[in-house]
Amino acid sequence: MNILGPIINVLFFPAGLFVLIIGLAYLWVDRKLVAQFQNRIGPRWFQPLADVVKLFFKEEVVPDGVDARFFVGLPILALAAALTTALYVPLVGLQGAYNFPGDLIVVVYLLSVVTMSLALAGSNTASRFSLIGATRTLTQLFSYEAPFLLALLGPAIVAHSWQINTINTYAGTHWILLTQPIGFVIALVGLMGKLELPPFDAPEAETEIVAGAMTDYSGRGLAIFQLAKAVEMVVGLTLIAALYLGGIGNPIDFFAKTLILLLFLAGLQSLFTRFRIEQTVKWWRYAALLVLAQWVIMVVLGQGVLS
Amino acid sequence: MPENEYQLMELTVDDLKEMKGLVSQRALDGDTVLLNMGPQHPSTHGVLRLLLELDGELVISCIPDVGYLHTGIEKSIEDKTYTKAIPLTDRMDYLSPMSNNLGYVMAVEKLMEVDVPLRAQYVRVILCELQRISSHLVWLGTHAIDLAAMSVFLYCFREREKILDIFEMVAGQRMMVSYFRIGGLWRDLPAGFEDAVRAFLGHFPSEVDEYEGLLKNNPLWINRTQGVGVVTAEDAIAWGMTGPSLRGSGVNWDIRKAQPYSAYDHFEFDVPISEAGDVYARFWCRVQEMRQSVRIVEQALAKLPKGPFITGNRKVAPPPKEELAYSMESLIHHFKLWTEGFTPPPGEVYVSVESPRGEFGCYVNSDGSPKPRRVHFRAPSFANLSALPLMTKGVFIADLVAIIGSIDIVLGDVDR
Repeated sequence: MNILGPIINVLFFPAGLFVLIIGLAYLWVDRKLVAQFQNRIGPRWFQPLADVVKLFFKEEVVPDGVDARFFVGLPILALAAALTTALYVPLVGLQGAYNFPGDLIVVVYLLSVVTMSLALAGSNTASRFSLIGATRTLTQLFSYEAPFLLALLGPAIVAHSWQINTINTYAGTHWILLTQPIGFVIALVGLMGKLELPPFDAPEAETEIVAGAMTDYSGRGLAIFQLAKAVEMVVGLTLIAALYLGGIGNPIDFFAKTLILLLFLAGLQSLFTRFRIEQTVKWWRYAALLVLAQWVIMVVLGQGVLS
Repeated sequence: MPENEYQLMELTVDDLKEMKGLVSQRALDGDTVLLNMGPQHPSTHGVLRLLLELDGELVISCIPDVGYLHTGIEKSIEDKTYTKAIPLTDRMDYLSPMSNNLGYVMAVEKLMEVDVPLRAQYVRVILCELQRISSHLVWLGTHAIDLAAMSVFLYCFREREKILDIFEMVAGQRMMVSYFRIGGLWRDLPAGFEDAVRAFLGHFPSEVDEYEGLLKNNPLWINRTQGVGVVTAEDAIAWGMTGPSLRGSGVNWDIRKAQPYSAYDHFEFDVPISEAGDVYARFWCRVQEMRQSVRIVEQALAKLPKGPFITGNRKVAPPPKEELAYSMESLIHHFKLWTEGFTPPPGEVYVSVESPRGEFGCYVNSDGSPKPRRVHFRAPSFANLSALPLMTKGVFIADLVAIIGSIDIVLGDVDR
């Protein structure tokens, strides 16, 4: 049992197959919602899965002038990092499969590994569109990373713990959204930046630089990157729901809270136009200042009032 | 990386020699990056190739390269009779075939000195203004999608669909209408046309408000468009820009007002002008123009006269089919028109109309034969596009996309 447990945890539940399925399902919900906002019908329920299966069966073209090891390895690294995070977050209302003090930081940085892999993959290929995309991905990463992390640490401070499970339990009795609204907004918008959704989709702006860092990817590599993004979305939504929206105690809690957040994200996606990359940076500078201001308020008022 | 693989990515020395004078010395030294944007690229609005010299995200120079959609339409017309050339004009600026038809038939009418009945003139105005709305809707949608406002794109196409339905009703074709004929129209308006247009006009103004509001009240859109791609009035005139792109720079020049043609002097409408000369100003002008077009169509529909839809001049307009049964003369006219066409006197004319993109001019040179010796079209997209390098000096790549969208080019119009 001692060996079987971890294997199941890693390969099937909660990481592995399960989170992939949830990721694809959420991707479908997102696409369907955006389609409805945009006066379209939208895809059928199995479309994201069908896309991935199709891409897996297609030839993977490794272009000239790239390091093939990185080209093949980086998508896998991205997916591995995304799947690992699923072990620590309270998916479907269950406690994370593993936890240790400080796993919140690990999750945030593993999510950044996904973005880093994408940027490295972009700079690895010879296409200039990829190169511009990679530069933008990194620029954006550096600008949203700090405010996003600060926003996620707000709940950690009031809960006196950097362990997701502890914060989740604490949040079950305290709606941190009400005491730290700025942090919530910035965490949510940070997630949009992480997922490269409009208005922060300059790194993969298809009307400017084709597909950004992923321009040269086809077949398997592209499919794996898409899966990594899907998992990242579920983990990100779970994290924000657990930290800010009164914690996640049971499956109904999980689905209700994450889907409401997704509805919100889909609405923003279909409303906004794209930031220019230097405007993105400027926006995040203000965001970082706002989070810091919130921290100052927290310190001045004292944690007793807020908790 | 091995040397031979590196060669695949870089331009050869001969390529660079060719580019001397087009790009800066820094590009030749390898300090800046040369990037081919297009011909297959989603936001060059067709098969436009832009050679960009980039310093990071900044555009140092932008060299438009046209000709990928060259159709040879001007040359093909030389081998067609005057009437048979009309369908070719649809295919130049494929977003405003009505205006193209109008420019061409007016030129031939001027050459032949044919009078067009008032009803035909009014119908032409109605259809051209509907065409302007539909073209501007495509522009608004694609311009918005360039800046990632995908929703606006889909909303615009929903409205455009209704205009295309009206076109299908009158011409049997949604896009390549070929509805205007020399001397009038192909057929009279079908029953139900006026109701269909009124139904469209009834809800369209509120839709425009909605689309405009989606963008105008969006600070992201304002940030992306205001102060970007500024072109001064002097430059705009010097580069031959026309249409909303020129009026966005504060020049009051609209051929519908300056040299009224067809029945435009019968209607009241304003010409929207903005002083700023940036992407937002051009956006604003076009959105306002849609509202003015609604005004014109409403007036024309209210005053639509009864009467013939094509001239009675049998030299250019075919007689009605039923006349052929009893009139020998009609039979001869029909036969002549359908075998040889008509022969205008030798001479040359130039006529221009205000197409959705600007001044669409048509030059026809006749040598007295049934086929034109030379036809040349002054394409508004071509002149507007030529000002692109001026507007894009030192902007970001993201702005470049916005600027291309704001001059509203149609590549079929650029490469006739």
